[in-house]
Amino acid sequence: MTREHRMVLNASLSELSRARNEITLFVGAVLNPIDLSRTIISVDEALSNVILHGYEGRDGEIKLSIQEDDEAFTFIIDDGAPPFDPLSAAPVELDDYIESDSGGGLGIDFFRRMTQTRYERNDLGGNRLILRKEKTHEEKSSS
Amino acid sequence: MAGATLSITESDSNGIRVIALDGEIDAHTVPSLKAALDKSIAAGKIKVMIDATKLGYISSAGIGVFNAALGIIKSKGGKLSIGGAGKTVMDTLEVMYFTKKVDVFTSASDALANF
Repeated sequence: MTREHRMVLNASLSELSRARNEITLFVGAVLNPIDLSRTIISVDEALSNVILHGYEGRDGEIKLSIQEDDEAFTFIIDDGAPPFDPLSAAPVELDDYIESDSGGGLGIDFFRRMTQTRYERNDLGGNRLILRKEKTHEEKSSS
Repeated sequence: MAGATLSITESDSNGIRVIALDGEIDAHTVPSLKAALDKSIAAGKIKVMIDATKLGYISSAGIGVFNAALGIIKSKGGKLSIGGAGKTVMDTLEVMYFTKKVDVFTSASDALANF
């Protein structure tokens, strides 16, 4: 069984809640509340990163495809921002981070820990980030 | 598109600044949270309880602002804690290690009593 939902977002932080709502509608009936929360945050962090550090306030478009198969949900985020591989950032040492007064840097680390993540350039010369959230045994049974 | 909303209500209870949050904290709404914390700290309020009873969502943007404010508050001899955290908010705070740094309670009254 496979199904897909696609949406297009403006590169604006005000679009984040719309993305979260649509993700909830698509995956909310399958994932348990904690997995749902972690998955939504993962995609939110990835989108925020594109808007804040990719487009940096410029107008732009982000395409989000949500796909479900028997094993997982896959989130494909395409943008037209300058090339940037978020996976090239050094992993955050959380013990060190939490001892510091740092105000940022946790978002990329979060989706890297919560999902299987892959980066590639897309056909438009921008970026494609793919987040894959494996279903638990119970979630596979309920889908 | 209006985006997420976050209502912030500030009050004082026995010398503790209570910042009650209603809505969602994401990269869109986090500037208002930062402003409220900055204002409280600037006013000398260094005992701060975040009432998260009506907080439905928090991303790393919110944790980053809490973490930065905490550094200032601690440097002034104060304390910050979070009360009323629901199941998913608590999970996010745990996954991002913030529960290792501040006391987080599922009840706002327990958080107040901890000062």
